Amino acid sequence: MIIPDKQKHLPPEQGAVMVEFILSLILLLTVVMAFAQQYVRSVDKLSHYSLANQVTFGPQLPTLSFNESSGEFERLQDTRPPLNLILNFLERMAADNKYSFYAGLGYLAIDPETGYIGTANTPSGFEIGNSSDLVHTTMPGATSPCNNDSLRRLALYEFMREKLKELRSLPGQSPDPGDEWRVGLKIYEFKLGDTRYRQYSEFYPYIFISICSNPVNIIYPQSTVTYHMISPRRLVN
Amino acid sequence: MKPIIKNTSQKESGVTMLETAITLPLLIVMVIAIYDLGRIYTTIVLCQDISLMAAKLAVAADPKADTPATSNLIKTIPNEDPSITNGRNQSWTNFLQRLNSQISGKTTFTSRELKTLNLAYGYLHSLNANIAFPIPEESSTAARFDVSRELLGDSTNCSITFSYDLTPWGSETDADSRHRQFYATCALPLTSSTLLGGLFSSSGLLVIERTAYAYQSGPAL
Repeated sequence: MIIPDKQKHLPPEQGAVMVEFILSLILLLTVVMAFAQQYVRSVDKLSHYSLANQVTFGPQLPTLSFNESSGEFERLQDTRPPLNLILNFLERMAADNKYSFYAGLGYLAIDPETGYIGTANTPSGFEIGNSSDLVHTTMPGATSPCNNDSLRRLALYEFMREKLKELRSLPGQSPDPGDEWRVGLKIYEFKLGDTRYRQYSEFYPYIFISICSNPVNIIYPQSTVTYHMISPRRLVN
Repeated sequence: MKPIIKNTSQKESGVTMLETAITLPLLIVMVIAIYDLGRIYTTIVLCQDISLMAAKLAVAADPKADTPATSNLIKTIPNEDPSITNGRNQSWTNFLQRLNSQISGKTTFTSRELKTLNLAYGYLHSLNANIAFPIPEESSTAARFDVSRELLGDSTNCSITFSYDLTPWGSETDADSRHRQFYATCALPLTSSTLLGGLFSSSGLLVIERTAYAYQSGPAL
């Protein structure tokens, strides 16, 4: 059939309207998809904070040890048992198998007589070991960047260092900033005559966790990463 | 003199009609979907918050609350049909039976468990006073939360339940204290399924559940 020339093309006005319509439809769909992407990411983030919250009252092992011969609280020589227990718990509570969890243990060095951060032996005010000391669980469904071991280790290690540095920058030691800056774990305090005696644990432990998950891909692959600093329960052997 | 309103040709009108015919239903669907997604999101947040709060209350040293009877832990919808209220009572019986299948001899809730549930439902009520609880269950043999929309009406219904977890964690300090997994479950009637004939859910209800773990949260019997 031969189509008459005037039916072959839409007049320019109608063509412009069609182009406008198609463009706005594409734009609208893009906005909806982007909204959906943020939606699933936000739900994922929510579950991360819920998991971290549960660690605070979940199963834990002591993070300090007491040396009976010296009468001092010490850092753990092997930090893996308490961290592995937490990772087992997180893995068990994870909503699916797309998570990776990294955990580390850091200590604030405390002056046992004043409770302020920082001692002569540890001028930096904290000890976090090396990034190789971090323990991790990567579930089989986790994809990049959650399964990128070196990246995850480095990111958590930096988080630990920056957080503890931030605490170290609090007014401590000099000259005497007051009771509100005594952050150590108090072992005892009493007053004898006019003298006040008190003793703090030499270290204050913190557990650091990074949670990474891969939520549903809607427009592009994405990951949700959150970092948590948790004060463990006061458990000593 | 030129007219202010130009007469459109039949072709132009056709294009406009086509646009409207495509755009309008799409916009309506999108508005309803966004409305439902908003409700789903807030319900997810609510469930997450409630389950966490219940778990925190369960591990508290001594939850301060009355010890209610389960028949008092019911909130009905206004002018509720008695069969629905019976369903709410039935859900408490079913809940206890499920616990009994885990821990033999579990025929009543402990005082601590009832206090925890009392506080958790109180928290739920303080967050949204329009939510009815618990989700009614039709019979003792029905699957958990297998409810119809007709039974719930158009209101959101939520249940707070728990199950015992018998996993040894390697850090036990009290052998008598059991671990519990708390669930906050909400049955949410979707507007989209009413208007669009079950596009998102065939039953017209979306059941959302979130969980939190209460480690060593007291004896079971």
